[in-house]
Amino acid sequence: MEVLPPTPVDLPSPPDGESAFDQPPLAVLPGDDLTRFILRELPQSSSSSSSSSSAGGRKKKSRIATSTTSSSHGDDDRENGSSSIPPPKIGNGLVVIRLRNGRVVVRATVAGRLVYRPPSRTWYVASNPRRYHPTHSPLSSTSLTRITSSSSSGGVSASLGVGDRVIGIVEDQRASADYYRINIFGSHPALLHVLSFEGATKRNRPQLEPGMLVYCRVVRGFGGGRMDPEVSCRVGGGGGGGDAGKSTYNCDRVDVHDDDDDDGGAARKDWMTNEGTYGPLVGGTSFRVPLGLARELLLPKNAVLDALDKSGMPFEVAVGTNGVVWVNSPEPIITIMIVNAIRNSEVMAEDLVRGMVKVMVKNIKRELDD
Amino acid sequence: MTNGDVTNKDAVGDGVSHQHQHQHQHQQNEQILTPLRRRRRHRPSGRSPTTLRPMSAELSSLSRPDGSASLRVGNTHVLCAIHGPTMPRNARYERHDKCALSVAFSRGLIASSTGGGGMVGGAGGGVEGEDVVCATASSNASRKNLPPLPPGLGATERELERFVKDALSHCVLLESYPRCVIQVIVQIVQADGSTLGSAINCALLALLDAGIAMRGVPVATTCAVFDDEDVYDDGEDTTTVWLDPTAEEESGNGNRGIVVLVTNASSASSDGDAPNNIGDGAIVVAMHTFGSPISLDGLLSTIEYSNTYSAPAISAFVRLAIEKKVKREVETLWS
Repeated sequence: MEVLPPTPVDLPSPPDGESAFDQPPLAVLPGDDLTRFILRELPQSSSSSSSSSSAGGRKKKSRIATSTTSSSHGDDDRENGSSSIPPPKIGNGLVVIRLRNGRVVVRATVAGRLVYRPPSRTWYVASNPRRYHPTHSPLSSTSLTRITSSSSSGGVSASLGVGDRVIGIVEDQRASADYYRINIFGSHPALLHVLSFEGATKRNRPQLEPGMLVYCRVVRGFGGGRMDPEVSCRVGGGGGGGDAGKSTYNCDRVDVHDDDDDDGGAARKDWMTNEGTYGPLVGGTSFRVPLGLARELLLPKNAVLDALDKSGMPFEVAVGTNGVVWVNSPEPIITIMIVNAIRNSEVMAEDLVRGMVKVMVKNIKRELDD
Repeated sequence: MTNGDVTNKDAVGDGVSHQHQHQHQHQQNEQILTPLRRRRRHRPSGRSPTTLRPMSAELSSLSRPDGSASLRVGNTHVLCAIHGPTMPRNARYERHDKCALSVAFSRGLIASSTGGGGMVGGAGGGVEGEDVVCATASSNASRKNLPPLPPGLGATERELERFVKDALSHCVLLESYPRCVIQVIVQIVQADGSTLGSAINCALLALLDAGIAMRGVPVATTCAVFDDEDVYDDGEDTTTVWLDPTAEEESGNGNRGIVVLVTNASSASSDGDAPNNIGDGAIVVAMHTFGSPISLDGLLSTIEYSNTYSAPAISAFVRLAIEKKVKREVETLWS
């Protein structure tokens, strides 16, 4: 009898020939054994695909059960005979371990919500941290077939965090004559080459003062946490401004971010015009939010930003994946209102958010007219 | 800022939620027994030996640190803040392969409920403590006027910090954060027994709140152990173990030892063979003892008691706290 973490939903008795799906637990703690949910079942939204995947799921489970008894080789465990259902991917907050008795288990390492993404077949644990760290990105995933026995040492792959758009603060001390040091509120400050701006040359480049906000893009990852990350204000792939030859670094490792080269269609304008995507953010105010809210704000139809947009207030906003938000508008009172609205939207459901924004906008308009 | 209040009245756990009912039955049965036994078994706080005090916790209570938690166990109140993973200030502390964990007990003023005279003044002491805790800067000057500290805090703070650090280091995945430092700051707002254990549990909640990768859930249990010699005059030595003692039960007349035991609450279910409570599979992560010496019997009893009563209850409580936080986030974020 397996020991299950207590869940809010009553679970049916364990495996082998059951037809119903288990609901995976909503909240997981580190050390929770989630093998039975991940390796067997794939939650489905439609009923037609559910029957096929349940067949595939059960087959996977029996395959694993027989292979542990027959051989001790780790790789056999992960061969999945069903060609129609490729194995699920394991993302942030989960780790695959082979126990001493040969069993393969999937355990959670972070406390949070267990989430499954059907498009990429990824399972991950979503916590809501305040600090930007590569292990907190849900897109950092490894396929179950490629895990070797040595990978259980907590290696974090080098490509994590690459392509993220972040807002950082230029620090006092330069890393060297060629690199600025940028605080991106992660574990280490990031390096920004002085020439990594669009159209920048040695004689013609922006001068960043300490304390300035910069909207930039992570180009070189954390290297397992061992290296300082590198950021750039150039659009698209490639290394830092001074190392054009190293642009292959990211391309080889890219298995996660396929759109690294076109950078989501960002505008590639010269740094001297202020119309480019990246660069210093002048004026306005900035504040920090938890990473979950930052990701919410970056979704296409975010409630609070949409409501503010429709209200007709003039403002501009930049959201960094590292949890920094910058707001600017002609009147300080509007800026303050937007900051409050964004902060409050973290704890409000969507319709409450729209109502709140409406009330705030009404008050502000009244203030401005006086 | 998101807040979550959790009390353990909802928690699943043997000795916790039915506290009052068991207590009445216990006293009724004891009137038949010898007076000596009844005198020895009676806890000053009136609980049964395996009943824990009601717990309540609040996650993300502070806005500046990366993770924070506030834990109340009876009258003991502990606050914990986590900063990290971040860059160490001094490059000397940087380790290339692991994270450095640093624990600091930021002690303002502690109001102890026993002034050394055996008074039970928990509520009164508490109010005092909360008023004065704001004046941490002047704490050194006014510390001289305080009553002596309860046992468990009489040891130097460095030793306790080291203990907490060791206990947490075994469970945090240090390899995930090389060259970083995770700073744990513990503030004891009110101490009424089991303070060190509550500090560890509070640090655990704060680490989970910060989303730091961990190997398991280290749960701390405090036990007061009496090695009674032949109490019942029947030729056998007995040991009595009280779980989660208050400050009065900890100090008493000095004839007891206090054991703080930290076990990894999730290790038991890993092998899949263990029965449905944390029995033989649980791993003891760290242990600290104070007070008078403890026999081997007493030590083994504490481990058994903690695995059977305390660790499942506390880990269920922790799970409940996280579930509440996640449930709230599901409604407002994660669309």
